[in-house]
Amino acid sequence: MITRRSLLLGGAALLLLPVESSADYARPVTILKEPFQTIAAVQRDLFPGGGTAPSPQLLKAIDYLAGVLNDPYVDDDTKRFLSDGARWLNERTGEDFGSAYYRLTPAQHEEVLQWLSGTPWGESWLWSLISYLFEALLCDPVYGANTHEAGWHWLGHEPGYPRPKAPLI
Amino acid sequence: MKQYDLCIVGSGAGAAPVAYELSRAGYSVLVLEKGPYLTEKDFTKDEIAVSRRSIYTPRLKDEQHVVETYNSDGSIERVTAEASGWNFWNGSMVGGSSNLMSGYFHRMKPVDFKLRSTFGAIEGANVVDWPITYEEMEPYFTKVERVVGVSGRVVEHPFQEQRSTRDFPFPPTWEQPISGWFDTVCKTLGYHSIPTPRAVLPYDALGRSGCSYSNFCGGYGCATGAKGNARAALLEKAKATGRCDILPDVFVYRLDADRQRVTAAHYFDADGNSHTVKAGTFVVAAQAIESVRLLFNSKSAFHPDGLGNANGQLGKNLIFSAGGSGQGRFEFFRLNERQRFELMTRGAFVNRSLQDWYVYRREGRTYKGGTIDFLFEHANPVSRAMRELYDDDGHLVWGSRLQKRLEHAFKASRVFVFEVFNDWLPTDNCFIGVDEGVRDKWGMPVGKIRLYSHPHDLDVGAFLADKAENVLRQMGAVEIQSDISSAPPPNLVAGGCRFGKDPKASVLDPSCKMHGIDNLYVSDGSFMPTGGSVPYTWTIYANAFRVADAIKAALKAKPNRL
Repeated sequence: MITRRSLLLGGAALLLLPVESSADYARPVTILKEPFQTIAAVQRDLFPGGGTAPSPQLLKAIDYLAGVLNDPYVDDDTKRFLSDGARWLNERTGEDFGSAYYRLTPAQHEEVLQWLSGTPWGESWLWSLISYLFEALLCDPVYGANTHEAGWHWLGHEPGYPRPKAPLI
Repeated sequence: MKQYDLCIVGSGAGAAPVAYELSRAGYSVLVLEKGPYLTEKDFTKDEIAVSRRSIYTPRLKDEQHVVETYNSDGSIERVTAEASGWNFWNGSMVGGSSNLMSGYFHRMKPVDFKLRSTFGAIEGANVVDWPITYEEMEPYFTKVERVVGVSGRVVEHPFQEQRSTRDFPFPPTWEQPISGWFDTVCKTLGYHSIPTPRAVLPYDALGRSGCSYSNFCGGYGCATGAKGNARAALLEKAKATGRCDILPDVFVYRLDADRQRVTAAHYFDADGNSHTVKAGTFVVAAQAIESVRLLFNSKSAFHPDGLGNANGQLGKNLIFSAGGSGQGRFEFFRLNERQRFELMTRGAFVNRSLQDWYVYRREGRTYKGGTIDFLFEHANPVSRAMRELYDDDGHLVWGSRLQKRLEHAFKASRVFVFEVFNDWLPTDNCFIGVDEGVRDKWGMPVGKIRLYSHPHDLDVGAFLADKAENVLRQMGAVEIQSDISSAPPPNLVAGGCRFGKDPKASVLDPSCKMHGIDNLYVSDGSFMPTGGSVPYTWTIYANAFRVADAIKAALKAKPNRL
């Protein structure tokens, strides 16, 4: 149960944590802008968080994905595919439900994901989204995601040392 | 222009021993390396950069290969690496891919030097005996133990090779408690558990720091210098003589040669400017594929089909390490508290191998087998998480099901893996060339790799994997599986400049000097006519020390004329 006291303690604890740079890799995005609005909605369905698991919002998964779209080591085809996939998804949900993915109900989301994962492009797109979501979950926080090492704490992961002081990319 | 006694192309395990030996013997040496000069302070355990983005290898849009494979009807499938993502680069930096190795160091066995005469011909394969024996190579294996630093413990087993020293100069690194579980099960099964020798220093020695047991070794640069990479172990000491210059960020694109001598090397610097180097003796050690590519791209009126290709042997008999890998999972709920604690010990090495089937008999026939190394799955968290993406029916998993799978994988189980190493038989169908139609960022034709694995390789690999799976089963692992395939491991590549006594059937002579060229040696893994059933790095190091002795002897007998 979340109490006011635990929220305050949590807040105090957060203030004591070292400041983490998100400027070097992850890029704060306007969530209402495409493809980020759609991808953020899919991220919440793929990895909702809850319990002791961090949420995509806490991990800054969408900001991290914006970093991926600017990463010189990620090839242009992959970047295009990540964006195009969101557009193709919304074209489909527009035909089937008359609305963009992020406006659908949770039950409709599940129905769409089941369909999507059964198509070659859809499975590949979801695979890509999850792989970058895992990076946001488990990267060193210098990349601007895995905020406060929340992903590491959740899975009991111990990083290797020396850790990067800044993203090498 | 400064002139050198020796110019070496490449700076990895095949290059560094030559630079080390020749500079210490009083000769001036220049090492030309395409990648940057990185040292311990540059290496961190950054999975995103190092493993997920491969920052230590060239970007494929700048530098790539053409890869050809056989379809089932025998036709050839051709793809570029850029289009397919098929990456054959390893470590592009001073010290080469030895920076990123795990350092599993097994010596080749005496039988590896005489496969043809021991096992006879295999249809469709170009198996030959080496032109030298294990006994000739043994002093150099020993030298690597001492100079590069190999830790381990010699135990008696049926295929323990002869040694000129009783034991390794350094004791084994800190070992996982699970190594004891492994030893117990092997004893029960009648197998001989071998402490895997490692090119990792357990404590400060040889002017380097000992291992910090970071839990992130293979695939990462070493931040202490404990790993016996070519730069830390040899090149820094060569440089300290004052006679060895190391030039990073330069790409050697061509060698000039007259009929019998190489006269110059041409390279591009980081700004794309071309330079020329003169030296008395040249050594090529850019790893098998790139060494062959350079020799093809060095064709001239004297050598119209490529340098060293007068008899059409250049690039032929490309080999990799055959085999594959497998795994099993230890579930916490099947273990007691002490076992769980032992299982989750981090940082230490498993350091266990089996070679009981290095040679084996089956159905009345004798086979050359191989080595099985055992270890925990890599600590890289993203790659561990990616294993959980599909359920047992092969369906993508998401939502709370995915989160539960991750929690189970990270907090309630641990995956134990094995790697199988057996011979990739050399054949006419697996070779290196160049593709004139695809150029790199400097405008040079890229290397072309034709891939083929002999069915025999898969047969032997599957036999060994079956033995390894049985060990995991007896240890109590579940979800046991293995993947023995014909997919070539890019980091375990050799051949293409086969050495031998007959110039018509080889590129190099037994000292690894090019047939017909007085002052050109090739000292990386491309000299190997067969690979042995072990990882290659120790053999490459040892042979490069042997080549260094040959060069010293040649220079003593006939000093360089520039």
